[in-house]
Amino acid sequence: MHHKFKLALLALTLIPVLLAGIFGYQMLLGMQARNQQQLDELISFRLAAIETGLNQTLDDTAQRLLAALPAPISEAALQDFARSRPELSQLLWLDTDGQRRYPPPAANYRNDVTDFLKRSEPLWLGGELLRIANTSKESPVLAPAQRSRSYDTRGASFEDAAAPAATPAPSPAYGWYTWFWGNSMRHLLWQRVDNGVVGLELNAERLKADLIAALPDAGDADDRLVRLYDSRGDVLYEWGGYTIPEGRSPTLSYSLAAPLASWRLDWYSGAQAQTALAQNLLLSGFLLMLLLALGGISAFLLREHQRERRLSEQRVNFVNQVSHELKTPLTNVRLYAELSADQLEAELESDHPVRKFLKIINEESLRLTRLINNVLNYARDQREQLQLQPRPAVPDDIIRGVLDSFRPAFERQGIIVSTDLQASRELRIDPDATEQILVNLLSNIEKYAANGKSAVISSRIDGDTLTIVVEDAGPGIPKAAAGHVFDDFYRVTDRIDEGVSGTGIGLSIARQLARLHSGDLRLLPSASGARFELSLRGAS
Amino acid sequence: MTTLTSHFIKPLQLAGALCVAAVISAGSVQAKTLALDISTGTPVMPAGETRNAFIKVSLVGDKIRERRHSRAPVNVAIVLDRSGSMQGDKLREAKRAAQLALNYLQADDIISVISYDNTVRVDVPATRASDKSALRAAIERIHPGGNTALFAGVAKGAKELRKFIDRQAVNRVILLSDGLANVGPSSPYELGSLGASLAREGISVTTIGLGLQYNEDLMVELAQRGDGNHVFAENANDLASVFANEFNDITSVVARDIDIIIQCADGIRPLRVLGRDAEISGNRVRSRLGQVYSEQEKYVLLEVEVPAETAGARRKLADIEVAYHDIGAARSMSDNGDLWVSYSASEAEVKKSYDKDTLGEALRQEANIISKEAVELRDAGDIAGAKAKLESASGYLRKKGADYALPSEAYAPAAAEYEEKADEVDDAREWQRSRKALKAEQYRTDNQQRKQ
Repeated sequence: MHHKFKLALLALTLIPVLLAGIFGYQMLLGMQARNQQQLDELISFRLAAIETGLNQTLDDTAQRLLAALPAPISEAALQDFARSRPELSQLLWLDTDGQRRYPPPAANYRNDVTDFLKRSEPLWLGGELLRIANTSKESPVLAPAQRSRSYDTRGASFEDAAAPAATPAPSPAYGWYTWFWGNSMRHLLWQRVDNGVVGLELNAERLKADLIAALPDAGDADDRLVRLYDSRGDVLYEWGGYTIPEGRSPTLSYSLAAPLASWRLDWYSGAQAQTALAQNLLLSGFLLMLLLALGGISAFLLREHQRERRLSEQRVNFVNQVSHELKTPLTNVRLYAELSADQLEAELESDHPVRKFLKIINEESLRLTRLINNVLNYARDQREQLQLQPRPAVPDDIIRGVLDSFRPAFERQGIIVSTDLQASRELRIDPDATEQILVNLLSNIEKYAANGKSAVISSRIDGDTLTIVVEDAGPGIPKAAAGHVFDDFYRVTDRIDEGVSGTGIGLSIARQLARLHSGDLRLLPSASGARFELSLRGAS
Repeated sequence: MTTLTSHFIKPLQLAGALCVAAVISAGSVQAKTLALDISTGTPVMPAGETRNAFIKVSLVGDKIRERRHSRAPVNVAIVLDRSGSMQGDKLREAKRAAQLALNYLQADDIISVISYDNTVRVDVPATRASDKSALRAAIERIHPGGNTALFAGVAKGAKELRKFIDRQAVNRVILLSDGLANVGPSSPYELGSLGASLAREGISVTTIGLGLQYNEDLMVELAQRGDGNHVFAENANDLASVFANEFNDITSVVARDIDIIIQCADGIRPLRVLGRDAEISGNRVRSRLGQVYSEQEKYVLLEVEVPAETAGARRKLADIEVAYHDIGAARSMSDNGDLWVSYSASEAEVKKSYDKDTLGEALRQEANIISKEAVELRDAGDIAGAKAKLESASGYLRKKGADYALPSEAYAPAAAEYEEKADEVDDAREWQRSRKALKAEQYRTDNQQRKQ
């Protein structure tokens, strides 16, 4: 009983916390997902802005180079141009027939020129660059773009990286061409000129340096770190003050479009981790507070409950002790009343009033004994000390004994008891408990069903189950009360002016005993009067 | 002298003073900013033999004379490594050296300070060096961090220089690093390529390698193609003097973008240019020098094949043209000259004619080439070969020095140095230091960089 209460309190404390935890966590996940989405949008917006800046740098380089391009194009002018421009690595000039005019055909070249001719061979051989320049429908306006075509030649993969325009435009005068050579990406800016096409290959390192120069410095923002990866997948540059924890993957990875295709930006956000941490802490804090509050209330309830329990225990103890104290004098009263009756039997005639008085004293003291037994049993039950002591007994003998003890009272009230006793076999049952149950049932008949004037008691044994049915012809038990008659201290009516008294524990004790006996005491439906069925299990 | 007198000039005398100044500066045109000296090691060649000869085209920067003009303005970016390995003494000394170097700057000079670990911080954006205490404080605030984004450091340094870039000024990145570049491009080729691009813009890059962990190939290549100096500073304590020397150089540049064309005469076949990059096409040899400092000699040393002639004959070896930008005068200058040899049957006469200075430089360059081969051998794991090479460099110096009857101080110290290095080749730890010292020395010889 007490443990159940504790369990209930524990459940009362933990279940709301658990529910709040699950709910809160779900909410948090949702919130974080939303935050993540917002963050992602913000970051991709900013990364797009960075990309625009990078493309701007490329475009500036293009404009600078094209503005400085000598006119008219001649071998000598190009040589000076190639030698003086810091942005340039090498350059290529094909005339209108697609013939290579620069670097001019020669017997042998400087090493860097030889390398360039090798890596750019697919561009000048057969006038390919001229064809590209004449057929390109793509505007060099550096907007988000996709790769348009690619092919492989001698191990070097080429791709035209000029950005496509949204609408068909006249063939632009210049454009980008990118390809891989070895493990690095080459950028070539082509420009159609009067006498053919000029291809300006950028100094790859200079381009990288210019892009780095266009990007922010380390900065003081320690909530992020942005990394720029080049076409080799190596970190080219990074900025921001956030220290990336080991194994952390980027918050957002952003691939750049042509002509920086195969480059990418990785954004590592530290704010997001901090926010998530703060939110988790907040939820944990809330749950802890809830746990403390509910725990406090439970502790208070538990203390109140224990105090009440202690009080009721004290009451039960008091009643128990008083009952014990009553038992000894009562036994003496009965003993001497019986002795007096035996003594006077010979001396007085049978209708002498003293004999009648003694009989009444005897009956009343018996009744008092039963009452006290009930109280003591109840007290034991409360202390969970109610125990059975089964031993072989004949149920019908117990029934007859109880009926004998009630006979004087029933005779006085004119109650006729008819019996149908079929349980004459010996069973291992607790005779005291069985007697107590019967006494409680019969004393109810004496108290409440006397005007019915009749009662029926039947008994039978099925296997090792003893069934005893006690039926009266009294007023019966109202339907509303039927569910409560076995509750402690429940009485169908509390009115004392009816002339009957009761403690309200008789049926409760009776059922308790029956259940201890692996049986039950039930109120059976009946047309009139009350009908109780007692079943007990006992070994044969 | 003008500066002295100008303090006493009264307004009325101004016109007269200007005339005097004009006369003086007209006179100084004679004393050229770069003194061109063309020589050959063997002005008298043995008759009847086809022989190789060295042509040395030497340029010496004149003294910066205050009376003529003040020095070129300086636009410098100090790029400091603040990676984790710089923590402690190294960064402290580097900061102190940079702070001390500020004293070389005038209020009109431009300075920027950049520090890099895995990220790059612009500690002082390009600014006039007028408030030096603020600059010192900004340098003091640099604190060590993580990795080494060397490439980005140089890129950002160049960006700061570009804000005030001026063809008249000395635009220089001074890069200090003590470790291996590990964020961004990090091969000698890539850094060299960036250096070459910057050089075309008029930005030179000096590299200072600190300690024993840096990549000397990368630092040398960057300085080489970036037209700057390269210094190996083994100890952080050396940094103050390294910076002082560097700033001395920067503030004494007298000419830049020097274009040297050696047009060999008919029959003279150019073979190779020692120590420097040069274009040889046909009989024409062209080489570029980034800058020449005051009172410093820079030269191009060309080996040619000279055909046989009879005794008493004279032959023209080459015509030389030099064009450069004179920083003080703020205009382009040019100079030219030619070189002749005569032939003699007398060996004594031939020997007597030896130009010891030119031959000495030629020896040093030859030994330097052998020294480079030694490093290559050692890199390939051939310790014995490298040792033999270094010893042969020393032997070559001593033998040829004696043959040419050079004064011993012209070759003996260098020979001793090679012998010392030869002893250190097989010790892996010692080699780490020796290699850096050798690379720095080779670079200095190639570029006639001033000794520390």
